[in-house]
Amino acid sequence: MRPTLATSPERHDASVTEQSVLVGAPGPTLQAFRRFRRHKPALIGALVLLVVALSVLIGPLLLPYKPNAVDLSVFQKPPSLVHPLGTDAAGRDVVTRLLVGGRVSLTIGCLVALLSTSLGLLLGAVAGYFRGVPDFFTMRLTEVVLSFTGLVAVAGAGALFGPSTSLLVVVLSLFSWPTPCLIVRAMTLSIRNLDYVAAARAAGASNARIIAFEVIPAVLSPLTVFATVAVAQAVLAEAGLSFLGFGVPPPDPSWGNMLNAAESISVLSSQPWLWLPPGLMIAIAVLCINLVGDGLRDAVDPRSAEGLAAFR
Amino acid sequence: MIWVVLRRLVVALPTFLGITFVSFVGIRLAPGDPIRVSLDPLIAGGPDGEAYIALRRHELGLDQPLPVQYVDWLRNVVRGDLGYSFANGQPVAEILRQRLGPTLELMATALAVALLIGVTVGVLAAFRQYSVLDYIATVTSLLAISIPQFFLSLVAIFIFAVTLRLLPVGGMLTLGGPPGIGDALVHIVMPATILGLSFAGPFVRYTRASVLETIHKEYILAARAKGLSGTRVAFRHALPNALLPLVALVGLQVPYLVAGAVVVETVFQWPGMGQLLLTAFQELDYPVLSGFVMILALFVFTGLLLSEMLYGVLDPRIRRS
Repeated sequence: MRPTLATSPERHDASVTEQSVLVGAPGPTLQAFRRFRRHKPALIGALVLLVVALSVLIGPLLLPYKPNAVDLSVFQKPPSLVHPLGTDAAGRDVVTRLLVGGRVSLTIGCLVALLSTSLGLLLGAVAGYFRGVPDFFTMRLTEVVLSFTGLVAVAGAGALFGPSTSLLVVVLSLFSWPTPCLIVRAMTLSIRNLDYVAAARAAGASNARIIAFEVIPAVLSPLTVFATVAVAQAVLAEAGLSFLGFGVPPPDPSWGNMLNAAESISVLSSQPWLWLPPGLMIAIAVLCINLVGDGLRDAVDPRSAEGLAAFR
Repeated sequence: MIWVVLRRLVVALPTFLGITFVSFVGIRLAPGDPIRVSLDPLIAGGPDGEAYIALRRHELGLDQPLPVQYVDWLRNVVRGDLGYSFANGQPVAEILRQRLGPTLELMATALAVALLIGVTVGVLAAFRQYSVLDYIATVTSLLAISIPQFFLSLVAIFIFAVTLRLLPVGGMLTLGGPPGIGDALVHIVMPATILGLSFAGPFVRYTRASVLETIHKEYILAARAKGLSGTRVAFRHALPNALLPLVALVGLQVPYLVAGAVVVETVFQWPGMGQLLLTAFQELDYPVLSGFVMILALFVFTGLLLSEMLYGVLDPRIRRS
């Protein structure tokens, strides 16, 4: 096991840094931060993401249009000074919808990553710590869930229960926890045998306490890498499902359902301002998140096998 | 070898049953009534509407408790009878058989494209680390992972079909046109390339990392030191070891390949499993959906089993243990 994992739980940050200052070497977290800062593509990705996030948050407040306001006097207008990216079939301003849709898409991405990683963390830690029966059932459950692809399952849920944004978040999360679960389980299996866990047990700590305060902090930093990539995956999944009509229900915009309009060949061929911008935004956002993920991976574990993590 | 396969099958059986049971019950617990969905509202709202619906429900066995329905379904499946579509009364096995061909054709072509591009580019990039080629490969593979398949499809249709008029917008064959291998090729180029590209991205990244790790191992240095040529070391010593894990990872990609196929088939109106799935969901066609999930699970398990077996054949270290 990597020594940094066992010795650098996040909660010891302050003390580790203090000690390290005494010895004259930066602590592991600071070192990781410095490595991240040296990773040029990751830094660019983080900056672009910041710009996207800020414009998505503030932009709609500065624009005079409402995202769902129908104005039939200006429908299907190409880009102009009044509507920089034109209007759609209901006369709604594309820029406004693009920004508000970004809020929706990115929120879904972050929520799904947070929920699925937390669920995977909990199940993986419990399975790896207790082994035996809990481990067996968790692993069988993982196999069942992995056999469905999130996309097909959510398409089903969307079609059967009617599309809704909150359902999308829940179902996507329920189908993306196995990967973090497997990662955490593998790490927990080796952490549980380390001396400091034995020390905690000898000091009379309960199993729940050991999992919460000794195991989980130790797996958190490698898990941040996964969580970052999970945001990208979730944004892509949301886009695909909304494009198929099973994701965010209209009239609310999302980057995915704005692209849904391009299923009509006339929109595809003669109104590119309706589908190019949301598609490009998805590509840019996902690319930047992946860049940040790559940078984090190198920063947290310089010797990581980047190839393995490339495989979703 | 046979025992390994048998043991894998025995372990897989409960998981397989679990998948079919969860999906069977899940689909049927959803709101919405498969009979009303496809029923003429005039009949449903007519004087005998409710009686007719109750009769149909009884005919289709939908008035039974869910576990009973599941056991009935399973019993028929074992006999090779997947039931009949609610929507058009055709046997589900027949429908799936018709749709499986086009999807397998698309997925196999896409996988071939992905492996060809992924392995070639990945190996070249690793042997020329930090070169212009490596830089381009790294950036392009990240782009391939980041651009949604359907968006890439739309852009490709816009460029090659709408603007340049080089390729057809969609479909598998020209309707009423002269059948031939040329026509089929022209239709499969775009969907297979796009599906393939999105998988080439991860393959490039994995291959590059794996080859880089291998060529810095000591036995490679030893092979070079005893005077073997660089080419011989690359092809005889480095590549077989570096590419081995790829075999296992290809098997893991099957679910994503199916998901990708659903999206790409929709955009290109490819008459495969993806389109079938979407219409079956809309029509609440229970038997077709259950059959679909079963085929999907079979795909996934076969993919995993095949890659594991292949791994055993290729890697003597695993075979012995």
